[in-house]
Amino acid sequence: MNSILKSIRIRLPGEWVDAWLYKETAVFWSPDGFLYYLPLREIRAAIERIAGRHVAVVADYLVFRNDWKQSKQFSDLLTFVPNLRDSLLSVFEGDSLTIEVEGVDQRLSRSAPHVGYILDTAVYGNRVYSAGESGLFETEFNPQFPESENPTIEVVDNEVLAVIANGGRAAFSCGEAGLRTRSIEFGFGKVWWDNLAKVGTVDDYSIDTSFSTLDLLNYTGDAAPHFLRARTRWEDPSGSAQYRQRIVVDYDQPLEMIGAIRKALNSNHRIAMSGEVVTDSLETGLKVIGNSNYHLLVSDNGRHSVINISALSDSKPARLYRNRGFREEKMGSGLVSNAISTQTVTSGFLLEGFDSTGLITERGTYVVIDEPRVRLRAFPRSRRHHDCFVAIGDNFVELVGYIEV
Amino acid sequence: MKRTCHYVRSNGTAQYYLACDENEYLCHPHHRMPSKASTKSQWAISRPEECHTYCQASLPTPSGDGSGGLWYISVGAERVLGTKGERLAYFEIPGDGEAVPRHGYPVGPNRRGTPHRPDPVLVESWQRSGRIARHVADKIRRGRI
Repeated sequence: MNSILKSIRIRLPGEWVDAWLYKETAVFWSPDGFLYYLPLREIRAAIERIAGRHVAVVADYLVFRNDWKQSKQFSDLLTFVPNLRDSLLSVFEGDSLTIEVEGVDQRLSRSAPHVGYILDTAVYGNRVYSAGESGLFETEFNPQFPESENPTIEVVDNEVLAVIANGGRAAFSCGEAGLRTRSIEFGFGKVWWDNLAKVGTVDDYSIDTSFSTLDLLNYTGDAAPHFLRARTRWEDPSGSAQYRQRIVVDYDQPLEMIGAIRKALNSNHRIAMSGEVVTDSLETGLKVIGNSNYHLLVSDNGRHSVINISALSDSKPARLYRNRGFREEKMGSGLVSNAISTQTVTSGFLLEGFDSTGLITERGTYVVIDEPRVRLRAFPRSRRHHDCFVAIGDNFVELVGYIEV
Repeated sequence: MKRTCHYVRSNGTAQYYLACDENEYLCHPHHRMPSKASTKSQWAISRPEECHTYCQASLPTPSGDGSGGLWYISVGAERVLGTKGERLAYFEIPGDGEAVPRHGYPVGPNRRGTPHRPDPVLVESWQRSGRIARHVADKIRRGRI
């Protein structure tokens, strides 16, 4: 039986260029580069006021607390108590519910603005990165102390197309200037912008980059990204961090993946990544469309598959293997073939199309938004928002959650 | 704009047109050769349409970005121009004294070796004039189309 996707869109007015959900706060960038914020509890209270408590509870699971949605307890309730499932989802008249939120105002932070047009952003460890045509900038924003005044520091002054941050490190795509990284100085008890780490270059060309756990995938526009394995160490909790965490120390040399991908598509075995160079792969019709964490979405002459990257053991080479959960017949060809970017959500792949937004899960492929959006943003490493996303419209921003039924 | 461009002559696989701005335009064969697709983008539209996209980049006001060339994007970026879904086209304009005719090719998302990307000032002007919507302008600037 085919699944149906129910989606909720929480729409806030305003012209924004990007937005994040971070530590119970929505963070927004205005067209002139200023950082704004709004506590999520205020959005939730507005939903309850406007649409009622039932809708607010649905928004809890689908947007504000995806950790609840992913729980076995919730899954069991929906599976084994159909009356409860039907009642919970009765707020949806069709497959989508839009709530126009009014009466909330984003507040201006005291971080200095980004200079120039913003192409990408990243928020991690209370650090805010904004990438654009004039360079990469770093500032601090702690939702617990949103009124703090923070400088915005220039990291590099060349165009930066994409930025990501995790594992104590920021990585950013600089086109001809390569894929560059820098460790993050959290500066506990110190002024964080003193004694910043140097920027290093780990690949010679980059238009986009993404994490595969802590390893990097570097996109160059070729048939497949390069794979850069992270060398890590464990770090004890300090500052606001509560747990031990793995910190990236450096990256290995970039590896070509396309040869191993082709073998993995036609094998039931795990294929080691040897870095084999295969020429003219784009002309054979084989291309990696994008990734969702360690899942690669691959198109082979119009046929779509998912290949997993396994790089758990430092003593073994990284391997690729065919993911049998995402079945080709469930992946709608048009939506996948025309995707211009992908992002990571727990359910699968978030697809950015020219004039629509899609979602691929193991159960199916869905058009979540059948209209153009300026930009999409997912939060795969968030504990509470790892299976929802933000969509920027012309004069609004939407927090979008969904559930398959 | 009244369309007056028309085919003039051939030289092997190269076809020459007289464009609406009365300049000679070359439909370069390299951009209609699948064997060259790995290094040269390929037109998905006919040669007369290719010439007229140059005409629309040139008239009434040249849509240059200071690089010496001209850019074309259809209204709303609705039209797909290249075989890989490209929606932009770039036309190289010879300098004074150069005997090379005008010719162009589809331009797609950022990739290694992409010779040109439209200048942000030009993209802003397309958006301000209403030729493209905000979401298209942002995707161009992010190198996604």
